[in-house]
Amino acid sequence: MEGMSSVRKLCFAHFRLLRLSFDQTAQSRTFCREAALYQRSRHQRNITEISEEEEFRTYEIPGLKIKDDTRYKQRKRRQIPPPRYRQMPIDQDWTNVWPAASTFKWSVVPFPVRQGYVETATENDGVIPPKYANAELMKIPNFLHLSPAHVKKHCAALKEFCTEWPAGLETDEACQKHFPVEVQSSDYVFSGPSIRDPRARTVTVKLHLSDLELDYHARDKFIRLVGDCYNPDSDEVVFTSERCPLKRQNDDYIRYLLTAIYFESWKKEAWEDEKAEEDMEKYFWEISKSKDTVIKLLQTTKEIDKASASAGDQKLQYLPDDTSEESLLALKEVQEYRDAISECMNDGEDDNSISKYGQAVRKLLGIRGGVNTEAAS
Amino acid sequence: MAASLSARPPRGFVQFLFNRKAFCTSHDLQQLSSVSASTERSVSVNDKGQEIVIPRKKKRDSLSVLRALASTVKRDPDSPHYKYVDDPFLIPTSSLAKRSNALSRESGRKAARYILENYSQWFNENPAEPPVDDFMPPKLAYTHTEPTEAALIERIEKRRVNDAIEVYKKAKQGNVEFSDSTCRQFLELLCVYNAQDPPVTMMPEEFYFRKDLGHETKRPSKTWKDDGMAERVFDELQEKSIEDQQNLIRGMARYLQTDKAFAMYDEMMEKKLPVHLLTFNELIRVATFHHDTYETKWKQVESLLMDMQLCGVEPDLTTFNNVLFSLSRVPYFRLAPSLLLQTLNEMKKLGIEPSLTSWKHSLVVYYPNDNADSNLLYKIMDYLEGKELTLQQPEDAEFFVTAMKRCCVNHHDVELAFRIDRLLNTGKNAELIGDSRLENMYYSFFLRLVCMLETMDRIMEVYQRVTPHLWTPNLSVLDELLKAVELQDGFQYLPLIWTDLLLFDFQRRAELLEKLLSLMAKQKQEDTLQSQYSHIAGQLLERFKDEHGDQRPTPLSTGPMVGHLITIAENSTDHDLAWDVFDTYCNNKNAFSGPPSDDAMKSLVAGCLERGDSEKAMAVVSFMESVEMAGTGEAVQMILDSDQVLLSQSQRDMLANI
Repeated sequence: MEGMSSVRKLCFAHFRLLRLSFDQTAQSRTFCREAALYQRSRHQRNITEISEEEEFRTYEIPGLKIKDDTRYKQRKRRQIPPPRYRQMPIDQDWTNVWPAASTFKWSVVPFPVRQGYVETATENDGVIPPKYANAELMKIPNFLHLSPAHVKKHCAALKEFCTEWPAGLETDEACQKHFPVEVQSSDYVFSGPSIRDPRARTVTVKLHLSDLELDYHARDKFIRLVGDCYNPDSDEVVFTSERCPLKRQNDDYIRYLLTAIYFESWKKEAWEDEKAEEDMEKYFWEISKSKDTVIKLLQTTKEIDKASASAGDQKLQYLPDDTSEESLLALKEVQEYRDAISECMNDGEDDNSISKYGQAVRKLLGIRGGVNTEAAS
Repeated sequence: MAASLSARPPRGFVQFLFNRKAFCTSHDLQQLSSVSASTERSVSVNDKGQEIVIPRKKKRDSLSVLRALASTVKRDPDSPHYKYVDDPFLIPTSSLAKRSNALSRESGRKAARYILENYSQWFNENPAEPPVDDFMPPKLAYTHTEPTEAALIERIEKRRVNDAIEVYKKAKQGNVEFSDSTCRQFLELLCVYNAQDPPVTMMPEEFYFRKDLGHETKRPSKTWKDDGMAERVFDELQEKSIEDQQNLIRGMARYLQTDKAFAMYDEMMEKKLPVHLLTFNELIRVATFHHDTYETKWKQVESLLMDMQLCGVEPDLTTFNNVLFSLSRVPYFRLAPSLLLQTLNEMKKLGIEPSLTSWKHSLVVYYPNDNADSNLLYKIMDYLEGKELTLQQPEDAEFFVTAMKRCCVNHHDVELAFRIDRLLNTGKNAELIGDSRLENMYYSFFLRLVCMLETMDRIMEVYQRVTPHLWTPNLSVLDELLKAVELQDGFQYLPLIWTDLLLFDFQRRAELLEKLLSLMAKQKQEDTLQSQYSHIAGQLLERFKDEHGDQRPTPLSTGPMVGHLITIAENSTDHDLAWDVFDTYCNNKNAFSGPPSDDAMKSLVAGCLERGDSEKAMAVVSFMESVEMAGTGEAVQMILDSDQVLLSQSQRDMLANI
């Protein structure tokens, strides 16, 4: 046991010594102090020799006691040059020193850096371990190969493969306008036996619905057909496909899908005419009871007005003589009423829409002073 | 129902959208869509009526981006070669360590390859996608085992010459007939490889160190197998085509059976048969092996060139390089330089760019010996300066070493040497320096020249750049470096050189160490430097004590070295160390050859006297007397004259006896 502890002590002493010797070396390539090593080893050996003489001989069980082969190791030890970062000129080109991604190398990185965890104040004197022989620093990825100088060099080298940005496409809006369809796909590069990645086949196509030429029915049908792919907030349609094994196939598939849905949405089947008011996705005033009532009311009012003699007694002065349905629908007051009630029904009731509705009704029915009372209230 | 207005969809609208060339975030898809849209480039008109032109994608292959990125990386002279692990404990510094490290790795690869070849049944799994054939066990077994035509073709395709010969012989015994085309292929194989299996390809590192390993390229001699298999197959051919004859000529020429080759060639020329360029090239290369005198050798080359002209065959770079090679084999031929210039002119006229091989041959012709004087090297450097060169022929690798040798031996021009070195460090030219031996010679010549002619600071600048990672210096360079230190008083560099001596494993070279120590002992230096010196002296002594009695000799092995150590210690006023050295020396006299110098002993006596230690001084003097040193008398006088010691009567008597 004693032998073992002395070995450990010796190893420890070695590390300490080595680090010291690195620290002592001065600028540029210098001469390294190795003498301490020799002295140390001699000293150690003398001590063990003396202690062996003084103590009783111990019974040695073969294979149990660890052989003390430090002396042999000592002699075989080759000269270790000081770490490279001590020799580096301060104006060196870092891109040549660290050209590509690599594990952290303590002897090459010229700045002090610490990483790790110390549990108590006694462990490592309470200081986070420095870079020398620090496995924690090797585990984490580093970006020493992607310094600004590297990126600059890489960009300059890659410039020959780039073309100029086309004129007229300076803003995002311009791009969106002239190129409404966006196709996305990704390539994956990694080291491994296989260069294939299943994620690479995914293709996404984005476009704004407003860029497609659609009427109300087609648009409605389109949205119903694409289902979740449509986002009403941004008016965007997003198709994603990974059902085919190849990127190209997925791309083709989405093109086919978009084309098919587009033409399908323009088609109108005979049974679609059977859609009644209760089947509608929202309130349409034109096919509602309200429209019939308003037309009937106005026609009746006009008849009454015609019966009364004087112009001053007329209930609704804006009504034209022709009381056909078309001419009544074209009236400003009627249209306002239609818009107001549609808003109430489709977007929900709130103060604004209710007051709008009230005004429209007053205007339609010719109730005066309503505006004032409204304003007063 | 206004919402359900039925209208025809605008036909082709979606196609229109896509044909406006989708905006792609991935270049891959852009590639895809550009296939369909390759005919139309301008795609859209913006508000101002301006046409938006999408430029074509620039052409590139799968590696060009990687190449472009790789071009940003330059060799860092302070870092070890990437084949070594970059850690101070693992970087090899001495040339032996470098070689054994690289070769060990290579032999590991070889061992893996051996296992792969011999136990291929365990390596069926191939997860690579796409599969890499080179990582899989080689298919050694033949599919055709019977001596048939198919079997012969199979062996020809696999380049197994000996097996092919065996099949051929067996088939002939069994009266199997081969078709003419197979026989031709077989003949070609035999001619190319001289009817024996091609030599095993060396691994890269093995090739790099092949000369150190003893795989020396032999002097060219006739190796063609006369009346061997090739000629037999040729005789057995029913119909001897021009191609067959030329194959045989090329084979004979390559393996230096020049007599038969030229005889056959003459026969062909008499019959006015067309001869191929490759045949001419081979023949020109061996023309100088064919005749005896310079004149006839050159006549042969000339006649071949004339025949080429008659046949209307256009020469290429190899032709000219072979002509230059022939000239370089006859450098003492009086017409050689002018003929060389004529050849180069001819190349210029035909617009053929000379390769490094051409320049190397030119240098050989113009500098036939170490005293030759010419300005050709300057002209070549003017021409090549700043160019990025490529390896075209194996002999290209010999250019740099030849140029540096001529620069060092014939010109002694250090500026020219720096120009050559700059050319070597341009672009990727450093790859053209050749194998380990050539690299060694190149840097050896370069550094020796620099050490001889440059100032101390410049020398150390070059030295520190080149060593230890680009190259490990040899003894002659270190010797030259120490001479420069002596000449220019560069004493501050001695500790560095000492460290390098340790790193390069030269500390056991007695003559070098002695020289280094003598320089350290030459004079007293300023304090920090002197303390470093004494530290080194202490190191050496400790090391001697440590290793004394072991099998290997210790670095400290001669008396003069001991003397230098004493002087260094006394210069640093470290008298204890000096005495320790002397004491060790006296106790182990057999371990040292020769005595220490007079001056060292005298300085030791002076040191003893300064401390007032008369007994030690007496011991030194009695030692001096025992080895009959010339300076003994002076030392005795020093003790007697000293007023720092009080001598006893017995001591005075002893001194009087001496």
